[in-house]
Amino acid sequence: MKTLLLRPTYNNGKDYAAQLVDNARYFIRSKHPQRKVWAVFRHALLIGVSFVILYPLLFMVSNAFRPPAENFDPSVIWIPKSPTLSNFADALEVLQPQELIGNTLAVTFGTSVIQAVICLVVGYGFARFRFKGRGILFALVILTIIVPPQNLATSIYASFRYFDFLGILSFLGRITNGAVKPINLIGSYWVSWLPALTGAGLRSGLYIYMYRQYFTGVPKELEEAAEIDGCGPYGIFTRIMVPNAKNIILAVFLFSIVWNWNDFYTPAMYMQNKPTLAKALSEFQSNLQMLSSVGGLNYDPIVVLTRIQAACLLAILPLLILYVFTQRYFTESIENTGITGI
Amino acid sequence: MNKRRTKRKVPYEIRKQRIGYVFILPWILGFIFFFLNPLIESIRFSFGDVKASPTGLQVDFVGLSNYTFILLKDAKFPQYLWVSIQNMLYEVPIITLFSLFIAVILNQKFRGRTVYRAIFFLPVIMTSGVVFTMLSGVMGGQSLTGTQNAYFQTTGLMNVLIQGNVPIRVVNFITDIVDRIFSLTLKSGVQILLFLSGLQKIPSATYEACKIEGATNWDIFWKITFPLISPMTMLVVVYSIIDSFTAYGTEEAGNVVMAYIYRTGFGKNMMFGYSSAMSWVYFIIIMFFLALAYLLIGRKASKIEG
Amino acid sequence: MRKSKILSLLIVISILVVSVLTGCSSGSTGTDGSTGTDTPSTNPGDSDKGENSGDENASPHENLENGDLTIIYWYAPQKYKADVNVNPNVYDPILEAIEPFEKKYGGKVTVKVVGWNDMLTTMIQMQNAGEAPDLIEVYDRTMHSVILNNYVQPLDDYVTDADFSFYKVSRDLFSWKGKTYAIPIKPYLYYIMYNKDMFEMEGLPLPDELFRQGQWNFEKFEEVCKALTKRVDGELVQYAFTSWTETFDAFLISNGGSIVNVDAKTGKVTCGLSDPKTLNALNIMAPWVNNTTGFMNLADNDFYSFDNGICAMNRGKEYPVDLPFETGMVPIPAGPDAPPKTIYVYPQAFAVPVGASNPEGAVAFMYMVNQLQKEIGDEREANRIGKENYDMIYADDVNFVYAYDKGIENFDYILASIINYLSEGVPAATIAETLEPEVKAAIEKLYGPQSE
Repeated sequence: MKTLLLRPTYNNGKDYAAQLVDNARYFIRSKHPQRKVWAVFRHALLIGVSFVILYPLLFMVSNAFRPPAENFDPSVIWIPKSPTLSNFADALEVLQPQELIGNTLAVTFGTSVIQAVICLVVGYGFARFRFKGRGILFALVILTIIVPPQNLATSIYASFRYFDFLGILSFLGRITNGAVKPINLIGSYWVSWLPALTGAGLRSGLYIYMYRQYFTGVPKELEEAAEIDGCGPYGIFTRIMVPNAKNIILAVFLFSIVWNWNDFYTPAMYMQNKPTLAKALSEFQSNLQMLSSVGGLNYDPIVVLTRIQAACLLAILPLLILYVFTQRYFTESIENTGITGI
Repeated sequence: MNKRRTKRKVPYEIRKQRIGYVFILPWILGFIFFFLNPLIESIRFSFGDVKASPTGLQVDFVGLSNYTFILLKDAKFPQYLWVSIQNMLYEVPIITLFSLFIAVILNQKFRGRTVYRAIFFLPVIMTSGVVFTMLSGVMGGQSLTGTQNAYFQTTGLMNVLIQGNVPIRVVNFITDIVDRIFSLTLKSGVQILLFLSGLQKIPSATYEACKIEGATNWDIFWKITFPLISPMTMLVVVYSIIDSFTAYGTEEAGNVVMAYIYRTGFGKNMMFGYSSAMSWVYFIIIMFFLALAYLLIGRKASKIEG
Repeated sequence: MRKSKILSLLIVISILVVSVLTGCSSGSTGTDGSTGTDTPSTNPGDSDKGENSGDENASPHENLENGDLTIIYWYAPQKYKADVNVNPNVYDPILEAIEPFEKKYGGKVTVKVVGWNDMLTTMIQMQNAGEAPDLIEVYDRTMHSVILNNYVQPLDDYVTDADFSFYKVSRDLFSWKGKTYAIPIKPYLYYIMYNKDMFEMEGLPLPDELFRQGQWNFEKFEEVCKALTKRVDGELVQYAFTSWTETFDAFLISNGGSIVNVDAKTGKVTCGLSDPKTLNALNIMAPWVNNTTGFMNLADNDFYSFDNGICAMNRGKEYPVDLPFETGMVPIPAGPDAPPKTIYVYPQAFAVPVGASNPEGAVAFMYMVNQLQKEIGDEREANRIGKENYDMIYADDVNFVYAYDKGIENFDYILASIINYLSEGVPAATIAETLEPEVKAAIEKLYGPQSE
């Protein structure tokens, strides 16, 4: 019988499996007084922290449903006197989401899927293979997390404008007398997709690190067992490691979606003709001018604030909905992974 | 498939090494295409005086003078650096412990767990990119009125306390702490999720088994949970350090050093040479702290991995 | 299995390559966002025509050959069209000039729309990639930075005096050490919107009448403000003036003082804090911002109070407005050391980046822009702010003042410090002394070391 994959911390070599069912049930169902205290404390703590977290959201909601005139009214604290949907209507009119949806989905969803997959491969490589230079290369990965994209701004534009696979295209260009030229990526979705495909996307280094840490925690016995069965490294990867990594893949995917959704830097700098929701949001205040009731007043907080809150709320709503639907996959515990080792 | 093993020309270990390279190939390409050039250019900038010319930016080599300026003569950079480091030193341990604690709690089975998990994902959404910039009230160069700002909540508390005749120093102290609690909580979003993923790798069977042995919760935590998630702990610490040092944004909402670097480069003075030199000094310092974290925690983590 | 894995990897890579090659040819579509010309430029001296053709009525740039232009701008053409539909008095001469320019000279004008804060970064990126744009907007905060850091080129080979004849601004303001770098567009003026009802209730003379009589100065300003400020038990219930912090600088400049004295002809820059006009202004304004007896709220622009009749004057609110009371408009009052009808304006101009491929075209374009502004834009603006107001401001005896204070790095911090010190009662001379080193350091950073 194969032993549990865990390194036992108690060295008495007992056979855990046999006693699991009976004793566990007994112990857990006992009404230990400590448990009650703990439950109360836990709820109090969680409620407190939740309040802190929800505060900005409640603030947004409260403001978004207020008519602009009540904005600075000191007598209104949370609940507006006359709730209205006009801010949302205004926000929709200014944002023009129908133009943005295609771009936003292509950039966000496409990039996230690519990032989740590619970083998985790379992270696994760093975790389970001992090749020369692993340490240094991984240090470079960390470097890419530290350097923010704004610092590389001046040169990145040129890289996108005249994208050349290590000079291959220019070389071919010389041979074919100019028929082959470096590619101009500016203004195309590839500005987002190509870096993601090569592990250089927004925060890709972080995802690589996440995957690496995850896979280093998988015990060697698993791999050895698979090797004994005749699996090569690729097979181990596809048949064993990946199916069990659903949690972390989902986590990376969610992070990636959230961060790409909210990212306005790349679309603003390199894809101006394909605006995304984030970019429209960043220009929201100046675009308010378009509304007939605002005119030249888009610096006046009274006019602007409630509409901005409404716009932000609309912008993050899809993310919230997405999270609510996917987060139950987070709660699936390890019982489904198939590594119970019995 | 058995054929391969008898026909082995290359030792398995070396084959595995090469396959490792194949796995990380995409990243190597990405690094070369998108990072190498800007990094090298940034290094060149940091050793020169950068001026515009008809063919682009041109660099006049000045040796180490940029570095000596920012380290020795510039009044602000060392000061900002020190503030940044202090900030990091108190933030990272607190955030790490706090998020671990919360993640452990969220991992337990109790009613309402899913609601809480949904709530704790919010900070990740709200503290990134454009939404954060807009809610911090800095938009178009002019901030929306401070008191109406979602992230400066303590003004209301302040007013109440002041009217209650509490001495001003105490008021400042209290609001300072409350501010920090708010900001630390909101910054812990990602870390809580990371720990949660790590915790879920541990089979609940293990816990139950240990309880049979008579281990207390405390024991379980220290002897089982904690060692098993050390890879994640390392990740959380590294992420928190990096996040603390590189939060992008204005001076209130982000990190002072990053704001200063950006201002020097793209602000009115447009001194890319200084800006790049500062970036490199800063990155070296960040790497130093990361190395420190690795020595303290990472070593332990890799011992467990085996 | 190993071989098949490598094969599949190769297939993936080749699919990548192929899709990149095909997918990117459709990259830059759309007339509004695509990048511009592909011939990187060399020396400005290449173009030979464009000098004054001798005919005074025609544009001095009749002989322009190349009509292709790339402009970095913050206003998207589609958004502009939508705005004009809502408010027909909105007029942007830059966007309006595109069509006539293309018709007159052939060629194509490309507008690269970038956010206001990203304009300079984008310009630098494009210059670095070898495709510098031809025009970029500059204003008081950025003008000297771009000139002194060599991002824009001198225009003396292409401009004539006619290009600067549209506005009451001196060519020196857009030059440095004898070379001209930017062409102005209609200056943006700072005006105060005031609550007429509140003034009438106190029986006070209306500010714009005072201005027309040449009586709108610091003294009168203080008088009306004091009358409009009411306190009950030490708490303010009504006060006179609110605006953003930077408006304080406008008052200083309206007295002829400034924080930074820039002599654009010689390139000499000094700290202006200790100048008699600045000190005088600070001394006069000290009681205005005083914590206990002042009547100005400069911490932030308190729109709420203005809209609800608690504050009488607001600099920052723009027409058109929809308020329950009648409003009027007046410039910032003139100080005792300055001519009576002084208006603070904020210089806006367009400069030509180094490496641009068509500087001559850029200059010709600006001429057309200003022409259109004169023919059409002025009228629209008069409609927007009211014809009387418009005539009042652009009357012949009105004196425009500008300053480049805002160009230095920590301008906002220095200004905030000045106000803080003043409000606590620190004398002006002390303030000047304390902050002088900081101003000097900032000057040195931007303008280089100054010989004393």
